Amino acid sequence: MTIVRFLGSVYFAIALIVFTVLFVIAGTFLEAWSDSHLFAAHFIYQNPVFITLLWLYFVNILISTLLRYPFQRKHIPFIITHIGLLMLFGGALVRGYFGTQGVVSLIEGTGSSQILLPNTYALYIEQDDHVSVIPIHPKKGGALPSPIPNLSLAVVDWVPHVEEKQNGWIDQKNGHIFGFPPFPVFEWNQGPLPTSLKTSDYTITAIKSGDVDGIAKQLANSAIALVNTDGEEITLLAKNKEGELYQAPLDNELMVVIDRGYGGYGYAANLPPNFPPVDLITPLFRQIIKKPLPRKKEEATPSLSLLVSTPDQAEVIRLTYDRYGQNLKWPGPGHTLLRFQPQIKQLPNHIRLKKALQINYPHTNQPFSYESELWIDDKEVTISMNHVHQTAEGFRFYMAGLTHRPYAKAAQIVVNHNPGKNYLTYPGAIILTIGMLLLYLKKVYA
Amino acid sequence: MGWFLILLATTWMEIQGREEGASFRRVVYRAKVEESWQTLPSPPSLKDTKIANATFLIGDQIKMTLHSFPAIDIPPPTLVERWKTAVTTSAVSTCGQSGFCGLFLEGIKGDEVTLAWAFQLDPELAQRLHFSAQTAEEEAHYLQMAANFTIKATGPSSLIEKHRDEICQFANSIELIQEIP
Repeated sequence: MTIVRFLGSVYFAIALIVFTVLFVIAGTFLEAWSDSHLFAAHFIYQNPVFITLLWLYFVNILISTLLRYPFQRKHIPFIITHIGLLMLFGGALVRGYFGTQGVVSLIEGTGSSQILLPNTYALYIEQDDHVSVIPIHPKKGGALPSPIPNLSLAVVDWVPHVEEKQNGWIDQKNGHIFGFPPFPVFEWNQGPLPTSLKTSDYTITAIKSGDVDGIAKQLANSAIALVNTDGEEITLLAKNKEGELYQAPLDNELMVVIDRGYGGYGYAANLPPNFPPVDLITPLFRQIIKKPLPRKKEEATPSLSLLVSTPDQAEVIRLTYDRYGQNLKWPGPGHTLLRFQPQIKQLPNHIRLKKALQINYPHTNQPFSYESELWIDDKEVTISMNHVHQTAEGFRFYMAGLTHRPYAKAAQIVVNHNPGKNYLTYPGAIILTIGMLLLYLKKVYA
Repeated sequence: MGWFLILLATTWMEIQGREEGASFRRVVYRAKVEESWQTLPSPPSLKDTKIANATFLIGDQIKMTLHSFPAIDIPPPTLVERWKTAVTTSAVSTCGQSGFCGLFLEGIKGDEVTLAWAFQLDPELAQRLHFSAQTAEEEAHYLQMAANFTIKATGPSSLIEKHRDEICQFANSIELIQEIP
């Protein structure tokens, strides 16, 4: 009984308040230091100790109320206040355990009924239009449950933060064009240009040099040169039979998808019409560079190495976290496509993005607000930074951001659902207010 | 208030695409249309691209047409350059919605004003459509969905001014009925 009395006592309540204040101070400092809410949430607000504190508040308020039993008329304001508090804490706990907060990124004209749960990890596996998304804990490593018979999956390495670069044409050692074996890359300063490979119509040369003009002068008729000027930028030079020069940066805007991605990806380059129609297509290759973990946790891009095995093939595939689940899916053994992305949750509504708009301050390019015109099921809805839409099921849609792409724009929409809001949080706040008012009036008129 | 009244008198209208080869026309677009507009009937076949997918008569003197081009890929800048040779251009700006992007041109020739839009589907979305076609039937449908299209309204300047909001609403609301996968 002494323990129960202590749990319902004002001393216990004061101890809880002191602990909470200390936690919140630490959380504020951590968030300011790291510039990362996720960092503070990880160490403070989602910490089991902090969640236990919330439960202890609930226990303290409940027991302190029950200890007044048998209730008398004078207890009414106190009981009402404490019921309001219990409902508020109950609402917070229900939201923590059963609430949803996710994001959906849509290109204009597309739609979805699924949201991605931020800061969670999953493996997307596609095989012949059959898609599975399995939640994973990649830091633990080891075997993963495979949704496909005769295909086994295991995480063999985990890197907390990487930078991924996608390129084509020339890697560290060789040049690459589909239909030809890898060909050597030459360093060049002056003199005649070396030849990397010959076709019946053309010679092709891959060169590392900053002197593009010098190479253009030296380039023979009916020759193509891929010039790597500074490690990343690659320039295409070509001369036709008449000696006309064509020069253009290989900006990799024209992507080639082979067999819907099962055969990999590439980039294509076109020569002008007065040049022979040579198919210049390079395989896309990735460079994944380990980086120190950024202080701001939201900016970390983890990467995992996945061992994918079938009875007759095994391959380690490096996958970089795709936080919006929209980038390329990488081919793996067993005719699979794989992507490392957040976990998904099904929504009761279907969202389709019609238009995403950036509204600027007058006469500037500074964004004032972002706006999206949506179809939510069969209803036309406009959401903006300060205008949220709520469905009958209680799902709230917020405009979070806008991405300018070369053609259609993309919008990031946050979807939030707090199942206890209408039954616990809002009524709890009203009941608490009434209780506090009655407590005040009781003191005034006592 | 005017805008509110426009909304009240507006309905969504479904518009057919243009058939290619042996395929037949599918209903691919929808757009907000004023109830007072007169819709002119289109012929049974639209294989000739000079024939509009849909033609509207607005206030008797404004003719508005929608043309789609499933088999020809003329980028919006090329079309706008072509239109510029026919009218004195007063404004060109970018436009786009529902995965389509393009250019808007306003031009004058004599007393007639032309409001014209040229739209092209985002190449990534066109590629998605192409890859998601499982059957020849779907492929024909998706080809009509991925087509470039133009909207052109021409009429006396005073009438165009009067109906400008309705015409722009039509052009800004047009979208594919079926979602892009």
